Amino acid sequence: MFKFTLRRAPQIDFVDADGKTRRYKVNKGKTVLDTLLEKGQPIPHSCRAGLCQTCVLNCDNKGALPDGCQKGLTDRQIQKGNFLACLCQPQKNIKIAAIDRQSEIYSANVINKSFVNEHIIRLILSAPFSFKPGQFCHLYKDNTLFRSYSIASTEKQKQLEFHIKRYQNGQFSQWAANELQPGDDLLIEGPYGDCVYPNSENFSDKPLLLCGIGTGLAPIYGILQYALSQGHKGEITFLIGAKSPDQFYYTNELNSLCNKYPNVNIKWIAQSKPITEYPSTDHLYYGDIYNYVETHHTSLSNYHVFLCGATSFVQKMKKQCFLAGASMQNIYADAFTPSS
Amino acid sequence: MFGLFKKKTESTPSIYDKLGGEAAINAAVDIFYRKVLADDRIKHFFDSTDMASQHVKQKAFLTMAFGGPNNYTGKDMREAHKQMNLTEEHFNAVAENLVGTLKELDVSEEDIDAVVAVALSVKDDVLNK
Repeated sequence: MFKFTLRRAPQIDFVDADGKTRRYKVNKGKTVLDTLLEKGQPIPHSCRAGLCQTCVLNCDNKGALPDGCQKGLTDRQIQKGNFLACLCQPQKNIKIAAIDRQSEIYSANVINKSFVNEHIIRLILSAPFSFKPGQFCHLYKDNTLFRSYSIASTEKQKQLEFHIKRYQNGQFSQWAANELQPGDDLLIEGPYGDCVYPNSENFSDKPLLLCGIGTGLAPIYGILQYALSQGHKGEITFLIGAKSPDQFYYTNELNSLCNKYPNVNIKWIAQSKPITEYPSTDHLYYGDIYNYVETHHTSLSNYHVFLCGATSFVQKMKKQCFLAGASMQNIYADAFTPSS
Repeated sequence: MFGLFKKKTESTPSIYDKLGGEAAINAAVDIFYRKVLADDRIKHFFDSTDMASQHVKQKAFLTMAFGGPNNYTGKDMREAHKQMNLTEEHFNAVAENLVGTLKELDVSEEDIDAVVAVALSVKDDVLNK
């Protein structure tokens, strides 16, 4: 008795920008990129060798992806099912789409709103998804306006906490300060970002540099707590910058962490002295944070660096740390696109 | 033009293979990219680019220059650089940094020349001539 199984060629279901699904048969030995281009469904691409990541797409049923087509992508992207079309020779049927079609918008409820100080709103929301310290979310004021904020929750907190800097003409921050109330719902997208303490072996001995300015303090504080909860043994240098020392917060909590864990060093770096008297401590330094890193950390070659704060800070500090020897893949930072 | 991008035959291992394939390229990219960012002639081109994605592109470029697996066409290089109005000086700056990187990696003179030859082969495309 013969038993034939005629193997059908795998199919690609490609969901285009209008939401329409088109089905393409993949010929033997052809990649997703080859197939889409041949069939007149162009996608951006460049090197065709899995290096430039221009052809990244998302696969809805990522379990069906063949090995090797997610090379070079971050853990987060791999988990989401992103893959490189030029490296993917499908063996099974896959359903794919461009990555900017993927969005995860949820509704969250405002549990509490308070003020850390006159400049910073603390917002506590119910969490519609699980998250890790250091990630960020888009918070929507309405259908058209959102802003990105890093998650300020500590590792143990089940709720989402955000520290929102209040800007005089801030479209989101003024609304949040004056109108948003506990009990309100708002739309939230996320969690995004690669600024997360990695879950890899042999990591706990690495020297870490955690650096933030302004409200960037909260997420790196979250990352620090998480690192310590995972038993991190390597040196942890925690640098926080602000215009003046009265803008620092969590000072007691952080200084006591520093006393409790001998591998943790903290420096509070203020650009200018305050008008009123401010107690001086070992941990307080007056000056420019870039200058401080440049002079006190001339070689960062084995370091893992975590950066949080305004976009201009993150970009500049990332470059500076790279030039000081930190490997690109060891710098974890998210830069939010500037908003109007 | 396309002939220059074909994979070399089995008998001549590429510099990519000699250096140690992908792991070595990762190290080379860091060195090369740092030189580029410190070079006053060209660093301004990278001011507003996202560092991580630029790093990936540098890796693609070096892989190509070292004779590693790639399928870049002349058209890709031209399109990518067209809007930048690059000059000989800019091209030379990149080539110098490339040579500097290879010297740091102890690559032989002969192999350095081969890599420079690959870079020269895309010069007209990069300068949009």
